[in-house]
Amino acid sequence: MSAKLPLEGIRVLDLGWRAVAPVCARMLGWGGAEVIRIESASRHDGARQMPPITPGRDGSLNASEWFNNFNCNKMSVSINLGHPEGKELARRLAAMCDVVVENFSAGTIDRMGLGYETLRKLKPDIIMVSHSLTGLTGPWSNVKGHGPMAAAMAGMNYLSGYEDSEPISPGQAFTDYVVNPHHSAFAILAALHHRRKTGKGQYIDLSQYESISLTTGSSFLEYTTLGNVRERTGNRSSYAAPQGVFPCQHIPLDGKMEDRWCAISIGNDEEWKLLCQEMGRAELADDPRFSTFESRKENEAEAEEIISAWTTGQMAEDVMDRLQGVGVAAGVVQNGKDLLTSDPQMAFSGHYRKVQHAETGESTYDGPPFSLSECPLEVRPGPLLGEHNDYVFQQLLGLNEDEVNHGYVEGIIV
Amino acid sequence: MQEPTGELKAGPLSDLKVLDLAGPIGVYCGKLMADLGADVVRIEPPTGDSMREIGPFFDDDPKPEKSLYWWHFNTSKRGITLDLEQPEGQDIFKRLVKWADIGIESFSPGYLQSLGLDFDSLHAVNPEFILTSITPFGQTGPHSGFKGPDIVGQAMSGVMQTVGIPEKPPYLIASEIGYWTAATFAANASLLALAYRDLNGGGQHVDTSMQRAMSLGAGNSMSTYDTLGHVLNRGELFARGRGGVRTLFRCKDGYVFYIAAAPGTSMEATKELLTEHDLGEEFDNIWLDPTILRQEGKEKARFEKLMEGFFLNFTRLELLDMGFNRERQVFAVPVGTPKDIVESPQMAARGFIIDVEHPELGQTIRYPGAPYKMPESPWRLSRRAPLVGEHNEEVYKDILEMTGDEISGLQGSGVI
Repeated sequence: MSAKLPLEGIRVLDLGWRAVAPVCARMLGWGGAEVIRIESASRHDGARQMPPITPGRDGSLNASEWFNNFNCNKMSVSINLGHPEGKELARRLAAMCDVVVENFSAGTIDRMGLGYETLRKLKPDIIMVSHSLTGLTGPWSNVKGHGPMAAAMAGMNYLSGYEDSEPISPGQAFTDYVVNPHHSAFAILAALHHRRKTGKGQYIDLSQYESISLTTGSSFLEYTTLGNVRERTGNRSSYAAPQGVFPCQHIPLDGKMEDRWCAISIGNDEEWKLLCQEMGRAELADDPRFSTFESRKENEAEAEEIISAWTTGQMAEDVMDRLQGVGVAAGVVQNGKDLLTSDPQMAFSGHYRKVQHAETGESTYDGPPFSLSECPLEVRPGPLLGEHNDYVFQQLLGLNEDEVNHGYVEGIIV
Repeated sequence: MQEPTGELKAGPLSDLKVLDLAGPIGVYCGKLMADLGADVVRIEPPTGDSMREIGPFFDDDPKPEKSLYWWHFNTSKRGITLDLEQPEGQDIFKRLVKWADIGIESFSPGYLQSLGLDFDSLHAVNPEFILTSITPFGQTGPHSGFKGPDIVGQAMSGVMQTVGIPEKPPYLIASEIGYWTAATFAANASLLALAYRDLNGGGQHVDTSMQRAMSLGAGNSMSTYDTLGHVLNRGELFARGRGGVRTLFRCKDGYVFYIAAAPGTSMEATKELLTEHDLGEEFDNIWLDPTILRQEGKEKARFEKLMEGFFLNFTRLELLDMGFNRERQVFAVPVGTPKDIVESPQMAARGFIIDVEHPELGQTIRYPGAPYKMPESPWRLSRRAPLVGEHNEEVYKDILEMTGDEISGLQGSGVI
């Protein structure tokens, strides 16, 4: 008998929308769970039209690589949740699931008739997670919207950016892709462990606002113990100096020259010495302006200028390789093209996975960002809308042909 | 019979035993487990972990027991000292591995092997042991020997390329988010390995890379290149297929984050709000079509100028109140500072902020609470971070059944 995947036998109902809940369910799908998304053509997930769309497929709901990548390993069933019989089908399906995830604004799922109190009557040990913006309770629970709003509220923006300029927001919906779905996936995995021991399910209430605030490190304790409100420090660090990104030779990209940067971080006096030697400036190693952490912190701008003068004109990859070669931390500020086509470590790790998709052809998805030595995890293409209707309606729910036809005719299955 | 109250229920991982050797890149992994009830034993060198040197410090007093960084990331853990570089220390470590379910480590690849404590050696001691390794680039491969502080992980992952504006250098996302991300994925992977063990038996080696973990935060950067041959750059994302209106505005007491002309938002709502404040005539109805505002140009600039003036009249909390307590909502939220989070009425109402006793200081300290509420098996901050060697006696006596003399002997030879 071959070994089972970690979550084999676990069925997940993904009632998610756009990113946070679907990304959470992707982790469970990577782990081998059977993940079923409920969608409908009448009210499809807007993510099915998020860029990038495979060229020539602009009107399709199946050609968004954004959607497909975030929904790999899942099935799709098309049920109209606006129809009373559609809700009933969804409830029957939920009763056959172990985990339900959703990210509507607080209270919406209850009004849809698919709330935890309803579902647990049908399946007492069900585990359900709601990912609302600020939590299901409390005076701000009516605050709804997009994940980046929660990131702004929770301190991520205020602390990011240069001291002398405004707070900035991550360029991508970072907290939707990383922070919240992987806090909640961890909670679900823990809840499944608890259920294996006790037989009990539960309702997990994740507030994006609270969850993200736990990424701001010791800034919370800095305020409660010292009364200090931490401020932005750009690319610098409180315990490595100098640290930043340094300009390198520009490169041609999309028909124009693009700027290029290499990150460098000096963690101790020895690394500073090695950097100075590699720059051909060995005399700076013992220069009192830079010889200790405190002096480098004091004169960080000056150190940055010296390093910039050295990096300018060099290829960023060469700066990285030279410095890493002598034991100094450095890394190119890479873009999507670098990661996919030239980064030797990403290629070696097999992180990106090629899949064959009925509409997009050969596509590349992210794999799980870790390797398990005993169980390689698979990545399969994102589902076409309603691709798994037959499986769900006939095999799981046991509907006969007449009942399925009734669903299509009445606009319950769309 | 009445159910025990939430306070008394055990966390979901209360049967798990974890050895935590991780540095900053992986320290959050053990906190996630410890706060859900796992018995996480933090192992430090006899001189104390170097993480204790990271400030800021309680009372601005730079002592190992006062690092707020250490405090934040090591809650609910026990702490022992053990010198892994001495043969006796290695033997003791293997005895702890027999007891444990999971080990978390973030040494440079090859270091544990040099001590005879690599996965294969530990697996031989305890075939059910899961070893979770967290490194910048993974255990093997051309960059596995590269140094990788947080900034290098953020740079190499493709995330940094997308943060900031084209006219300026790329920015970090603050607070060592690369480390946080690597540790959080490692925690997920560890529980997958645990689920695998429950089904099939057997431990395994979990290899987590910060670069790979962070690369998921670059969203559609990779797939945009793969699909369209286009490289996404800083400042571009909100201009392509997303709400194009600037999100950050100054207000009376700081900054507000505002989303308009994006899916789920309503330009009518903004118009109504402005009308209530006698600015209705300034609102050009052409803006009711959000596609107009998603394009760079005169209309976007005119609209942003109007909103700039409007927001300056109100505080963040006034704007939150005005924006959301209405039929059609305006998505304007405070850009929160660390102080705002501590003082947030929402977090207070939900009990997010908790008091933790620091007996060594004779006082309680306010800590951030749970990332998720899971009432059947609650998150709990069971104790403040351990002092250096605080639990040597209970761990070595109770788990390894050492005698007092043995422990003294090991202390004498500097092993613990």
